[in-house]
Amino acid sequence: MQLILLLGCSSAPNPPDLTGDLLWVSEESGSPKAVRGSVSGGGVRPASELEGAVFPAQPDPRGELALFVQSTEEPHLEQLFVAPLSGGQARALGAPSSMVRKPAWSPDGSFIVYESDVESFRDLYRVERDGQGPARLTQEEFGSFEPDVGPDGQVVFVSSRDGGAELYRMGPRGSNPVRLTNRPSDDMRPRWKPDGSQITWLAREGMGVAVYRMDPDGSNPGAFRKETLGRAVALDQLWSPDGTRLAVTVQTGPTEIGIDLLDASGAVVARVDGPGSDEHPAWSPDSRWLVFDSVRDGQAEPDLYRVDRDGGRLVRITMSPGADWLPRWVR
Amino acid sequence: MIQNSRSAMALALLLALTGCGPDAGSADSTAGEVPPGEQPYSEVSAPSGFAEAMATQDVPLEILLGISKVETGFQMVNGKTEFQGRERAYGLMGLRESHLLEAADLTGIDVELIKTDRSSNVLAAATLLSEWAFEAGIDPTDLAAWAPMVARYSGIDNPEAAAEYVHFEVYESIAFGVEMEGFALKPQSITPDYPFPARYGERAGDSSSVWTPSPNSSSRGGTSPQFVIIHTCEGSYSGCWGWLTNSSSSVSAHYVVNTTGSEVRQLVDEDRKAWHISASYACSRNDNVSCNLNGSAMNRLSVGIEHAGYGSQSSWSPGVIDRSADLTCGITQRHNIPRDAYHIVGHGQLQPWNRSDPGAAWPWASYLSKIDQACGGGGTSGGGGTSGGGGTSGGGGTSGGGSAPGTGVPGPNQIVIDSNNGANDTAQYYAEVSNDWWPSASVGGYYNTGYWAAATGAISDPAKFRFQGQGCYTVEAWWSAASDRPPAVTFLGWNSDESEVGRQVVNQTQNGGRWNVLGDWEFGSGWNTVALSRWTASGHYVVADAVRLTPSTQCN
Repeated sequence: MQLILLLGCSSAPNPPDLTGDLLWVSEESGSPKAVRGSVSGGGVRPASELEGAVFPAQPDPRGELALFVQSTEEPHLEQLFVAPLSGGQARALGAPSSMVRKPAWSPDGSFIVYESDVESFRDLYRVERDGQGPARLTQEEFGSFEPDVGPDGQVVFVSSRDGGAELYRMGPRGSNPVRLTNRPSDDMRPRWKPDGSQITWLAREGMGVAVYRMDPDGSNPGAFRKETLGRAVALDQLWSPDGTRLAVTVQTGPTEIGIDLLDASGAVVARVDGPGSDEHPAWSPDSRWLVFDSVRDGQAEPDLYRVDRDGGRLVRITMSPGADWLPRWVR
Repeated sequence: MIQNSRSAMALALLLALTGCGPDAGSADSTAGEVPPGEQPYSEVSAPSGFAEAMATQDVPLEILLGISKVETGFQMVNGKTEFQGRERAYGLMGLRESHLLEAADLTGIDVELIKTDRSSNVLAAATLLSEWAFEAGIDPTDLAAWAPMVARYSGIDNPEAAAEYVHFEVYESIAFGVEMEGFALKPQSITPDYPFPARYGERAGDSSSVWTPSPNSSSRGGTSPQFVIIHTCEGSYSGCWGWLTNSSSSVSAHYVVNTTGSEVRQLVDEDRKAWHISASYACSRNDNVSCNLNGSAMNRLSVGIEHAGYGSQSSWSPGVIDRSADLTCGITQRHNIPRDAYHIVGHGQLQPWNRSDPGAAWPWASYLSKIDQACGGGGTSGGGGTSGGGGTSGGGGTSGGGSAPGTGVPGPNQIVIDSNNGANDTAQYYAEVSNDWWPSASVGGYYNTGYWAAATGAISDPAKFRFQGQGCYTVEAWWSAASDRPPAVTFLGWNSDESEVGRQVVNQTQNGGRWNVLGDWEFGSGWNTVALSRWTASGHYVVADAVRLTPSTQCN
C-alpha cells in the first residue's frame, strides 16, 4: 500500500499545476513490477498485467501509451511492450532477446529506437508505433548503443565502430551515419536538446565524468556545465521537455548520488542532494516538476519524491515497505 | 544446540557492552619523540568489537584480526550472492550463513544482530572458533594450532584453496603484522599446523598470473570475446578461486584478483567460455532466429574477472585497480576489444535483475583511464584496428607506457623522483627537504633505499619533489605505511610560480609499498613541484619517499 506523506504540510492540497500520473517500479511484492499512481502517490494499481519483472521506460510524447521493458527468466529474455494509458492489453514491440534496452521515442511519437542483441553483440533497431518493423539501423561488430531521437528524427547514438565510444548521428532509418566526436576517452549518454539546437553528452574529464555540449553537426564542442565536477562522476542527464532545464545525476561518493538542475546555459540552478542517493529523475510533461527516487530519509530502500523545477517544494510521495524507484511522469 | 559456559559468558558480556560509545580498546599509538618506525606495537586491548570478544573467548587476537582482514578488509559487509551455492557473508568477520546460524545457536544472539552489529559479529565468530578449538583439544595459546580452525572457518572445500587461505592469506597477514584502525599487532612468523599448498605453474594468457585450471568451462563455439565483465567475489580470494575450480559449483571465471592486486589466478583459458554470467538467449523464444546465440550468450562473448571483496565495500585498494586495469588492458589487446565503457562493464549492468557487482565504490572513471594508460595511453583501441599503441599482444600484465604494479620500475615515459637524489637525474628532477626532515629506512615497504621523515604539526615545511616538464601527468606517490603515520596528510601540485594545480589528501597508515594515485594534474613550464605537507594533526610522522609522473591525457 502506498502512502502519501506531504512533508511539513500533511493536510495541504496539491499545487494546482500538479497534474498527470506516475509510473514507477514497485518491489513491494518482491519482484520489480510497474505500477501506476497519482502524482501524490495515491490510487496505486498495476500498470500492466505482464509477467516477470517490468520496468517503465520513457513515456509516449503523445501521452497515449505506456512503454515497458519486460524481463523474464529461464532463459533470460527482455522485450518491449506498449500499453494504452487509458487501459487495455499490452502489445509486444520488436523481438525478445537477452538484452533489449534504452528505448527512445521520436519526439512526434511515431517510432521508437532501441538497443538489442538479437542478431549481434548490440545494434540499434527502429520499431513503429503500431508495431511494424523492426528495422535494423546499425550493423557494427563492436556495437551501437544509447540512441536518442531529435525533433527531425535524426538519431544520435554511441558506437565503438572506430575503436572507442564515440558519438554518431544518422537519419531516422539509419542513413548517412556521421561521426560527431573524436576524443581519446569515452563519449556517452547523448541527448538532444528538445529544440534540436544542440546535443549534450557525458565524457571523462580527469578522474571524473562531466557534461559536454556541441552543435548537431559536431561543431563547437565544449563543456556545458559551467562549474567543474572535479572527480565527481556524472551518471546520466535528462532535458526537461521545454528545454529550459537539464537534470544531471552526479555521483560524488560510493553511496552519494545527487541531481544537479542546470539551466539552458549550463549554470547550476539547484542541487537536489539529500543523504544517500537521489536518482532516476523524470520531468513532468509541462517541465514544472521533477520526480526522483531517494533514500534521503534513512530508509533502506528508495521511495519517490518530487521537487519543482528550481529544486524547491520537496515532497515525499511514497512510503511503502518495498522499493519504489524509476519513476516516469505521464499525462 | 551446544551451549558451553564461554558462550553464556559471551552473551552476558555482549548485553552489557552493546551500545557502548567509544572504542573500548582502540590503542593510541602516538608517542613521544622517537624515530618513525620505532613506535612500540600496541600492547593493550584490541580494536572495538574485538576487545569484547577477547574478554570471554580464548581466541588469539591475531587469529581474529587475520581472518577479518582476509575476509572483509575490516569492513562491515552485507554479502550478496555472487555464485549459486556459495553462501553470503556478513559483518566484520565475513561470517557465512551456515556458520552464522551455528554461532547464533552457540551464543543465543539474534541472527540479524550478528549480521549487522559489529561487536555481535566478532563475538559470534570468536565463539564459533573457540568451540571448534575446544572440540579439537588444542592449546589456545599456540597460534599455529589454530590453523585447522581457520581453514574450517573459510568454508572452502577445495583442499588446495583452503591451504592457500591458511598459509598465504590469514597467517601471511599475521606475519606482516595486522593493523586496524590505528591498532597494530607485532609481525609474527608462524608456520601453521596445516598442509602446505602445492602451487600450480604459470601459463600464457596473462603470463603473470597463477594458472589454476577450472573444470567449469566450455567451447566458445567459434566466437571471440567482445567484452570484459567485472565481478566481485563477495568473499575472500582463496574462497573465490577455490569455489570457481570446484566441479560441483558449475561456475567459473577467467581470472580472480586478490585483495591487494599482488596476485592473479587464471582459471580458464581466454579462448574458452567461463561460466560467470547467467544472462542467456534461446532462439525457441524468438521465432528460431539466431540460434547460434543459444545458451549463455554473455559467457560466450566475454572474459570475466572476479575481484576478491564485496560489492558493498566502501573503497578498493589502488593495487587492485592497477592490477585489474593491467589485466584488462592485456585482454583487450589480445582480442581486439574496444577499451570503453560499453565493452568493459560491470556484472550488475548486464544482469541487473539479480546482481549489482562490482558495486557503487568501483572507480569506473579512473579504472577505464588506467586501462588506457596501461595500454600506452591515447584512448581506446581495438574495433577499427586503431590500436592505442604501446602494448604488445599477449603481453600479459605488462604494458607499453606503464609499469607492472608493485615493481616500482618506471616505464619508458615515466619519471620517478626518489627521496634519494643519487637515483635522480638532478638536472631534470630531484627531491628537496629542510633540515627538519631526517633520512630513515626503519619501516619496510619503501622505494629504493629509504625515505625522508618528519614530525607533523602546524608548520609549513613541505618536502618537495621538483621536476621540469610541462604537460598533463598522472601523479602517484609511494610511502611505507605504519601506525604512527598521519591518517590525513596532503600532497599538492604547484607550477613554477607556486600556483596550485592539484591536491590530494592521503592516509599514510595504509597502502604502503605501492604507487598511490594522487590525480591527473596539468603543469606549466619551468620547475614544477609535487609537495608533501607536514601540516596536519601533530603526533605523527609523515613520510616523503617517491613520486611518479606518467604522461596523461586526462587533464582536459
